[in-house]
Amino acid sequence: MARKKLETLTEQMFYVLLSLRRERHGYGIMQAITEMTGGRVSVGAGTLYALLERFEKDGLIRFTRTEENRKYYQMTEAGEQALEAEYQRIRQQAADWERIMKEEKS
Amino acid sequence: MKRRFSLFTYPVMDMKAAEAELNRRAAKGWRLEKIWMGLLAVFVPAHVPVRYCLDWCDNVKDTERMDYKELLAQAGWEHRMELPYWNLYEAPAGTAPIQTDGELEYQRFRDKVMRRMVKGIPLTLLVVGIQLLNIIAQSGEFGAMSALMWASTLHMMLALLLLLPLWGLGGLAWLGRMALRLHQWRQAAREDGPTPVPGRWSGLAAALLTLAGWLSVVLVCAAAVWDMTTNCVPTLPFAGVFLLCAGILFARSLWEQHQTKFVRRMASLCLATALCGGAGGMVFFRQAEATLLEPPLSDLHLLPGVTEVWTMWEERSHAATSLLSCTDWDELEPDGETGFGIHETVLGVRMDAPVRGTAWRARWPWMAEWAASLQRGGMEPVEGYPGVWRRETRKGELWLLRRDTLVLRVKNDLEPLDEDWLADMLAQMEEEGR
Repeated sequence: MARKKLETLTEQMFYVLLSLRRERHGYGIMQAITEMTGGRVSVGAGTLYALLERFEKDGLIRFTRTEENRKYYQMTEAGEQALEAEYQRIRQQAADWERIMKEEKS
Repeated sequence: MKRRFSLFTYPVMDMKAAEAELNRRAAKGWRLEKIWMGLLAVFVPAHVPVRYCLDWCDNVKDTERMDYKELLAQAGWEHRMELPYWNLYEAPAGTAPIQTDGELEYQRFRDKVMRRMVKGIPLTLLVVGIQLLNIIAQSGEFGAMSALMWASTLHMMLALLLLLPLWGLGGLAWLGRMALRLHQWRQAAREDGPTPVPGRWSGLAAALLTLAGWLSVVLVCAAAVWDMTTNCVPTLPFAGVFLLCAGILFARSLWEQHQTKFVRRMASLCLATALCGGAGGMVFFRQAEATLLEPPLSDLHLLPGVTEVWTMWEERSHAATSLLSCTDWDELEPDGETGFGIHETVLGVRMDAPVRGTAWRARWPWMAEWAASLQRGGMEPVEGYPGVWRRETRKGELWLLRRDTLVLRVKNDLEPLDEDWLADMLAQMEEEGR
């Protein structure tokens, strides 16, 4: 089922936003995500381009500058809120899981 | 240097099959050298292992396209070439693929494919509709006869008559395969699974059918060139029409900017047809005219005792191509009075001709059999006479005779013709066929 307009973020979306807490260029985002996740998550260049376009259109990130043919982006306040909301959602999911597991064991 | 080849005429919806074939070769140590005329992928031994990715061509501004390619280049993907629907990228083996989000990939696939379906559906329906009308018309008295008379006039009409049913079937198969792929990609996106890759033989079958489709278009263009060379059509105006089409298509490819490989290919085909047809018609027409088939049964009389025949424009009307020729005529009763209003015409079409003969000569017996089969609907074979069919009509009778490469159709509204007449006709046909 296609996600509605960024109500929830996919794993790749989450890490792209997370990496843009600092100003980065496209390839830098890919490298940062690989480093953050120990290689577990990788974002293809084409997917990243589409996500950056979408995030910029939705106001979650902003373009800051171009240097040596590389476009730099950084997260906006709206992006921080979206990231925070997703983080809380994941936390709640994890907490629900722990609670159920505990109940089953006891 | 050693080389390997792979057919690369994958249809638009089999992007993953094309990519899989490239990576299959790459896994065996081959590197893509080029794609020849958009048909054949040529591979050479790879010095370092590589992998390939096909990505959609997007109709975007040049600056956006440059940004996109720049990002891909930084990620290790080198743009190798532009194909009709896709861009082809190459990277060292182990590089992360360009697209890693199944849902985004499905959305792009859906947008591209739906756009083509919107164009493809009316075109397919048009071809199928024409063919259905053709079948309905052939069930009438003049339907198949008219189609064959057209086919005797122009090689291009003969090619279209033969190919239209195949194009209709091909169009339906193409739409069906596209709908199947859409469904499979949607399922994969919903289940968050990998994008579906068609099996190797399924992909190859689709590539072969696509190649057949292209060859059939080339065949029609070649038939048009031959029409101009044999002067079956006036060379310069006909070449001018193709030149105009080429000009319109090339102009379109300029202002559409992207996704133009297909349009440019069609434009090049029109241009080649115009140039070859124009040159052939001016230089080789005498030699080419010698290949035209002699019109059949030019001296045949259907009615006993008839020595004169009449048609609207000349003694007998003839049409000839290198593959099929036709003679068409009416015959009057010996006293010249028919009482049937033979001189009445509607828009140049003769009405109420009492006896009408139409004969075809085909280049090969199988073609004569095909021409006869188009007209046999509703007719019964005549016992004791193989290759002869007959049926009653509203006013009289209809005969169809076939001997070797000759087919004779006789419409008779006078007294029924007897076995002596039939034997005489067959003997004359056999004599002419020798």
